[in-house]
Amino acid sequence: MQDPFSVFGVPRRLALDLAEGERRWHDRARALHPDHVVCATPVAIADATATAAAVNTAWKLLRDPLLRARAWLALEMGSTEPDRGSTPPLLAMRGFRIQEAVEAAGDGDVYARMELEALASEVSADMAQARDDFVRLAASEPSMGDPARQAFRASVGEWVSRVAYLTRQQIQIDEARGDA
Amino acid sequence: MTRMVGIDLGTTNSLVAIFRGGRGEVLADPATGSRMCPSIVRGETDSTVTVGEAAKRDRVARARDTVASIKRMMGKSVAEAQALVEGLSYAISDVGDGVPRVRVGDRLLSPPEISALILKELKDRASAALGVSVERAVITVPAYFDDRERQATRDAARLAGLKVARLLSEPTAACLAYGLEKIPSGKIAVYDLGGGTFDVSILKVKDGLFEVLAINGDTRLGGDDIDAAIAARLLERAKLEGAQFDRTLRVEEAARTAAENAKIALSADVEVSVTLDIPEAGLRWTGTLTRDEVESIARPVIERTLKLSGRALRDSGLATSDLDAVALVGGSTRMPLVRQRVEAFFGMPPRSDLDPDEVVAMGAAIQASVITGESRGITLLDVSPLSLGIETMGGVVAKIIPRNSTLPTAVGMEFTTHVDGQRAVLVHVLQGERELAKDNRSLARFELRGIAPAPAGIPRVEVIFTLDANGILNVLARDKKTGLAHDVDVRPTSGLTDEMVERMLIEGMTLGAADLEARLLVEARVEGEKLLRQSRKVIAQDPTLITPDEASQVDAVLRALEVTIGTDDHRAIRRAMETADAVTVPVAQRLMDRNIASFLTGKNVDGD
Repeated sequence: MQDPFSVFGVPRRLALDLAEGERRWHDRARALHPDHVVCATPVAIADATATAAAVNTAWKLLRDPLLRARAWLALEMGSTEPDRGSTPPLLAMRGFRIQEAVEAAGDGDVYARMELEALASEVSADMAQARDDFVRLAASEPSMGDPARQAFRASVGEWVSRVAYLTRQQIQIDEARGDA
Repeated sequence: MTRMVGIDLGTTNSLVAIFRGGRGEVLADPATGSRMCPSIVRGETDSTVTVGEAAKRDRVARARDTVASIKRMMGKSVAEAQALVEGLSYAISDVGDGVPRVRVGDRLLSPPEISALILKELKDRASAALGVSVERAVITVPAYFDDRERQATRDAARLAGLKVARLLSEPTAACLAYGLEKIPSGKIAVYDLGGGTFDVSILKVKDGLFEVLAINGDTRLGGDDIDAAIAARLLERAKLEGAQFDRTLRVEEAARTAAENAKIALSADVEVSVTLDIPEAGLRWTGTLTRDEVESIARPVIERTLKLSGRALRDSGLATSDLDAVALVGGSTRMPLVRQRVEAFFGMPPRSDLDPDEVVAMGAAIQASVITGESRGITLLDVSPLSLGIETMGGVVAKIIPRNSTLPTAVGMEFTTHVDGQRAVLVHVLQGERELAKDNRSLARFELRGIAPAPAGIPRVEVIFTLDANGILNVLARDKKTGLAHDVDVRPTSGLTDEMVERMLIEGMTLGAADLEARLLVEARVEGEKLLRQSRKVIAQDPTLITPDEASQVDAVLRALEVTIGTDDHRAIRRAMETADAVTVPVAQRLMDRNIASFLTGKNVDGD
């Protein structure tokens, strides 16, 4: 994986001003788009495509807090597969409840549908909480070389596994509701 | 001098437009003055073809020789085409190469060849109207077209002698026209219900930047479906009221034409009289059709489009209240019920101040002006319609590029071996949202070959998947240890190969009553492009084995060849090919000698 922070030209930090990021992306997308290549030989277009694709991909990773945190961790750990950490027990328990509700709702159980709605609002409340947590977490990022960075990485890892888990739950519920 | 045009290659009608006076302008047929060209082709007994209005006029009388809605067959396999052909007047033939064929006159033609006949007609129309030869075009495709369907469209253009400067999504094109003329900024939903396809796009427009946030759609949902359902209702009623007749092809065509006319008339009137009169089938029936009746038939189609609109909105992260405008595109949006339901769904009256039949072609012409540099300050950021994935263990798909990713986009994946000494890895690329490979559309299978024998898991081959600005997939493989790269030729599982396109180009010329010079030009261009492609491929394998001097020399002769191919002098093309050969062959030979060519070759294997 290319380092999205350096491709995008921003420091490797979790905190990112999204409005400013989007302005930067738009400026670069305008400048780099293959449609604007003046000498449009196949080679020139392929080069422009590769450069524009790298910037687009970097922004795709940076604009989303979960993907940004994952990219950050991967760079910090020097590996593409960051430690997932263990699943928080409360979330795991709700995972079972969702599984049951999804199956029962699929069989047309009305109460299971209501349970699904209740679970959906639980998950979105947790998601909102996680978003707030991320802002606080990102604001407390120690600078490079600070010994506190080690512990901070662990907190980011925990946040990532929590949000990854919540995202899966959200998708699972959305799909079940979509079918119903 | 040549000029770039914008083409809307539609299921039922096609149009060609140019950029003039700061806007897209649809060109009329100099002969008839009509701006829409029906996408209908008829084969004649003397091997010629009739395209457009003339083919449509005699559609009922000559149903057996007439081909319509060929866009639905683009990029499809034989089996898929056979499943789609029901209700159409023609049959699908299987000639054994995976690409369906349709009889046109005394020939069997593939869908891209038939689309090429329509494109050729538009090209000739534009050349006549402008007085210059038109050779390059921006061609629109449904946003929801997959890689196979886009490749087939590109093949069609090539067969028509057109260079595709860009494949552009239809709703994005429409938004470009609205953005330039009517809605310079804001968040816009484009609702595009055409003859054969439905697309919905959510865009953000600001200072000339058109960013597509999300798209959704269905390539098998359109006005044609409503016509077919109305036609079935008409025949059913005729039968119930005692008419005795055989359901011949001509009867079906007559009912479909009557249905289409009645539907159009009912956009203005609340009741129309319909007559079906095919004496040879014994059919003579007159009845009335009301708007209510047609609306009850159209309702399920419209409700499905709104469901897909809701999904696009959700993917864009916006609510209907965030939108500044909703624009209607496509002839089917003229139905009052469509307008009512769209207004109710989005909570605002939709806009149709640009002609819904012409707005896509107008936008394509604007994009052409962006590419030629005539218009400045406009940038389109389109997205991929479907997720791209590869098949992993157990037939499960690993998504590598999610849908709605801004184009161009690229992702690198590492592949390794599972068995000691394994020399090749099979990669199966798919497009779609389903979890299992068998439920998605198979794009291509290719093999990474020539891996040096090593214990399982040690070889590392990096494969870079790129979706270019046209939404077309390109694949590059690189051995991580040696850094050797190889272009992987990804042809769709059911598409034409470069060789087939080349053969069709030359055969097409020999079959027509074309003059010798024109034929020599086509042949020279085909061979020149082949030389260009192959030379670049060989050189790209390992640029480090070539000295900078050689590299710039090779680049110069290939560029010169490329420029010459764009002219219409076949002798100059042949000379440029000889010069290029003299420079590139010794270099290529040396690369071959070092056994590079066999090291890491990606090659298509038989698909399903």
